Amino acid sequence: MKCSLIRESLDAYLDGQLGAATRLLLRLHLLRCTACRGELQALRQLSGRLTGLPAPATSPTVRAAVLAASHEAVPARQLSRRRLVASLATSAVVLAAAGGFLFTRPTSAQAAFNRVIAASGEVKSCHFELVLQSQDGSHETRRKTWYSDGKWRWEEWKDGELESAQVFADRKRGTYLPRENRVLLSAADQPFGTKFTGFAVADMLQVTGDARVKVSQVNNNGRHLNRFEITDETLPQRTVVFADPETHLPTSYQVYHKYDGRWALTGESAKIEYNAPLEPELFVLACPADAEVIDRQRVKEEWWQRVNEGMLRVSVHGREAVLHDFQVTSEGDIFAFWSGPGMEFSTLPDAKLTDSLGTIYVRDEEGHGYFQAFDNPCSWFVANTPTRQRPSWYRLSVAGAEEFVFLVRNPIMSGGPDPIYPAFEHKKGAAAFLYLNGEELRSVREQIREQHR
Amino acid sequence: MSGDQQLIRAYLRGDAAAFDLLFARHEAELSRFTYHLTRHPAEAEDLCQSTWLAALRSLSTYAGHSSFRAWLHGIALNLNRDQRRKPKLQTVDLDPEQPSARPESDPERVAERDDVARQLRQALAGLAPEHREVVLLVKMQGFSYQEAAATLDCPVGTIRSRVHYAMAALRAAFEGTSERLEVHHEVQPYSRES
Repeated sequence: MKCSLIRESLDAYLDGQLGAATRLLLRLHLLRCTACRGELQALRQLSGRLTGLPAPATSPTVRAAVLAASHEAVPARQLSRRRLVASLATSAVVLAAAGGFLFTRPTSAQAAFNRVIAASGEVKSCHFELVLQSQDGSHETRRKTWYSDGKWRWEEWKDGELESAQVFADRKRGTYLPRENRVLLSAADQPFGTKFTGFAVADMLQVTGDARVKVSQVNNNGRHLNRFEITDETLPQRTVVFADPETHLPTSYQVYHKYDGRWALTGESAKIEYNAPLEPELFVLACPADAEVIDRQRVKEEWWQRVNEGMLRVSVHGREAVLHDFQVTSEGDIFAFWSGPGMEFSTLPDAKLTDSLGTIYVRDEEGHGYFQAFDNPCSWFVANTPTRQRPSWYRLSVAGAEEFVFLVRNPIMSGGPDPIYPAFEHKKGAAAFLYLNGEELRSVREQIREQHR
Repeated sequence: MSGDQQLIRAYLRGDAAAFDLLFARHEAELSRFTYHLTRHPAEAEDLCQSTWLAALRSLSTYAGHSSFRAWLHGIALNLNRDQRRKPKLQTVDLDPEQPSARPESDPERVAERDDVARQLRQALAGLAPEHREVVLLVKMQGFSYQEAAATLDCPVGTIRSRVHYAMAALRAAFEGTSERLEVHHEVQPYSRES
């Protein structure tokens, strides 16, 4: 094989993109050809330098802005910007969050679309269903939304099964997860997830200020409609909205994504109904009587109270130890923290945990706790032999100036794979450090279990 | 369902912490990408923020048609291209803090100490945009040719040839400056007399 051909293939070879036969031919050539080996070495070295180039961590400003936006479901409107940009046209994100009208200095198509958005925001009630298809068409997700006078219900169905149901009303949000038979409650100022405005239809029309809008008039089975085609090349995504020319309300809606450079239909509305009376029961979250109800908001608020008061106290020879927190996660792990004489500042507290089921608990050698705000011992016990059953009691023995034993019959259920504690409040800047974030938590957990296999 | 897609579904249901995890999974990689894609640390920050916010806004209609990682990089690339097409604007820096105020963590300072990294970054910045994009995606971010093709919306064959020409151009730019660097050192030998 000629050197010139080989050299053209060296990058693909390094990147693992050659077929087996070509790879073999190339290797045979490299065995004989010093020059090409030199080229490969130079490419390898350059590749190595590229992967080793330093780069900054995510700026704290960016992190704070993005996480704040995700928690409050409020786009850029409330975020601080470092720069005042002379032209509005580049502040696409700021524009999209302007609320109400998405396009300032709009073209006539954009102005017409502004009217659709405005009309959608003014309806008293709406029922809306969106169907999304997977790329190969084998899976179907259906999102059903009901809205009435500030109350909101959302259901997600996957392949005919209910995945979750959520109700927002009276500044409270409840989510029912049928598979886990669990309800998560939290206080909220607005419905969460996709619903920035609290109204599904206006929400689906959120696009950037840079999106191109085309409008045309169509005749759909004798009905005259305005057809809006909104293309956002950033994502890329195309939305097609048909709207009534008199009421300006959307009658149907389609979503397109690009596959192999072509726009393909990935979602469309199955139903859009306006101002019909909706049953009040829709806005009450119903769940089976035996569902586990976890109010994470309440648990967070109670965390400080519980920690300050202590969950349990035990005395030995007149010396007292206090168990401040004892949480059981959905994985069966325990996060606990305690204090007592002779235990201050210990990095790997001497502690053993057992339960009524005989679960084996292991801790990692480095003594990962779950926060660093306190100097008292805290620990994360990983269930090495987890079962679906709930233990009726836990026995935590800790050593300090004495040996203390806590018998826990009413642990706090964290309601998720991680413990609940105030550090999750990103708004509280100083407390927003996580000793381990959720992802690290999962990976360390696996390592701990591996160590003890 | 991939881990990312599970997190997205959980977030859409109202689990705020799920997005935190998604962000934690991808933030470092995206920061690195936007830093080397743009030519200015402040532009990189803006691009990084805009990318995340655009993704956040569209999670409800993200259909999982590409990996979340590829989708995120695609958004960054598209936003960067849009930005490059616009006329350069006058910006008023309201924040008096300069990057050099954080010397220990400032990669520019670190890189300046490391001449090789600086030369390489300059060589990268000098590449044609379509070459820089593909080098960053494939060589720095470790995208396969297929993933890069999906992200850049072009055939795999185009990726392959772009990688080849981009690396040749990068080598020429980088090795050229490296040679000048060595010569520079040679003409300034250590002298006991001075």
